[in-house]
Amino acid sequence: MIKNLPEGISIGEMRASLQWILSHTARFAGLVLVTIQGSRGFILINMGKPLVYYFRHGQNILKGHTAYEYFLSQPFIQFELRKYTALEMTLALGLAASAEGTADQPIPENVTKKGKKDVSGPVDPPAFQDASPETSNPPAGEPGEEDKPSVYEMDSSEYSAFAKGTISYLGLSHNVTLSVEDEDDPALFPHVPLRTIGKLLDSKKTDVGDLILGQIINLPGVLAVTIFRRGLNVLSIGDIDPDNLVDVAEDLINSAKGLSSVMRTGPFIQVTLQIPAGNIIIAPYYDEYVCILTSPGINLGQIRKIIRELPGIETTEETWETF
Amino acid sequence: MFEDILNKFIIIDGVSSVTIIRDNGEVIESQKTGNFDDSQLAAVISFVLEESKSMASKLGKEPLSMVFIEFRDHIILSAPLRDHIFIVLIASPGANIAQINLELKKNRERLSQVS
Repeated sequence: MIKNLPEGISIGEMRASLQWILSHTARFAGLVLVTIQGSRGFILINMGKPLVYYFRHGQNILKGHTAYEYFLSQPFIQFELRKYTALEMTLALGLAASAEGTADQPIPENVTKKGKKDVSGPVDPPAFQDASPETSNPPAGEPGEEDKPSVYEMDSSEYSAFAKGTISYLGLSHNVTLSVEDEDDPALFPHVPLRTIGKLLDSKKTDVGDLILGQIINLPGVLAVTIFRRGLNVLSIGDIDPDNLVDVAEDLINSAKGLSSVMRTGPFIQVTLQIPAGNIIIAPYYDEYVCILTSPGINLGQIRKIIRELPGIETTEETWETF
Repeated sequence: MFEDILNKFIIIDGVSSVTIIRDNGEVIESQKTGNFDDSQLAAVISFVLEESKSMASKLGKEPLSMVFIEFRDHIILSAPLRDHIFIVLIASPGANIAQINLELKKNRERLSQVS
């Protein structure tokens, strides 16, 4: 099944625990392609909520909670993040459901009967979720797929038919609605009304909002982000050549560390370089460093605000590296 | 003359030091209220500036406009005045950076005449 999943766009590979993955994908929609001892599996995640867990070792297949427990038992998981568009997420969910072969409706646990998104309380690791296999939209890879026009090329009537088919395929009511604040969120698929699906697919903007580092890249003026550790690029987003920057960035941090030898600086928070083309900001990010490229239009005050808004960062002595 | 200009910075609330240095770490002019060694600081800053220029050049041979380093207890701001000459300011995190920048903009040309 894994090979039939939509390819998506790869945004990086790394090793981390399941807890790390789940805590760092709050704004990610896509596939976490897992490799453990040569065997492969995946987690489908939509905005930090795991929808499907799957792992295959030889003829043994683990799904749902069993796969979750297995991933949890591993201290580190080698994985690749592949971000999905709304359409790709739909197809992946459908494919997973078809593979399961049940007719349960795919109403997620976090959607109430009224169709409103319920964001209260933690989401337990869900069982393998199923969608109805009765559909007119075949999963990716089936014959005939290539003959169909891209959703971006459809006219309004074609798109309307496609969108209705998608809603039907997902087993969702046509009356599903979102609260006002949810409607601005590009990665809440599949619980979105038709007009929102249309807006997403027509504008092709889904590539922006559903990245793992969306919290940073979506900040005003931010052009690119890369995360690195010990000379190695871990993840990068945007127009940036991380390998070109990481070594120099580390040298810069090390030289800045030297300041603590001549004065009592306290823990390091950030270094910002201003050049005519923009700003380069380097700051601690969990156990790594994040390098952010911004447009020239933003000032130091705004940069300091960005740093304070970095997820997982608290400006306390305990959480900052002391030089 | 430069003493007067540096005074404009040192009187800004939170600013504890203003120094003009060469990129080899040599101190040209300095005023401070804090208790730290100017020359040592200038030496370390010169390393930071060197790495900063190196990083800027990786992004398309861009000239460096400013380096801003923030620690919990201090912020360090450095900007080139002309080739090989930089101004370095040390201030508390609560200092008004916009005001420092404004003074820098107003006095950059006069400061660049330092030798």
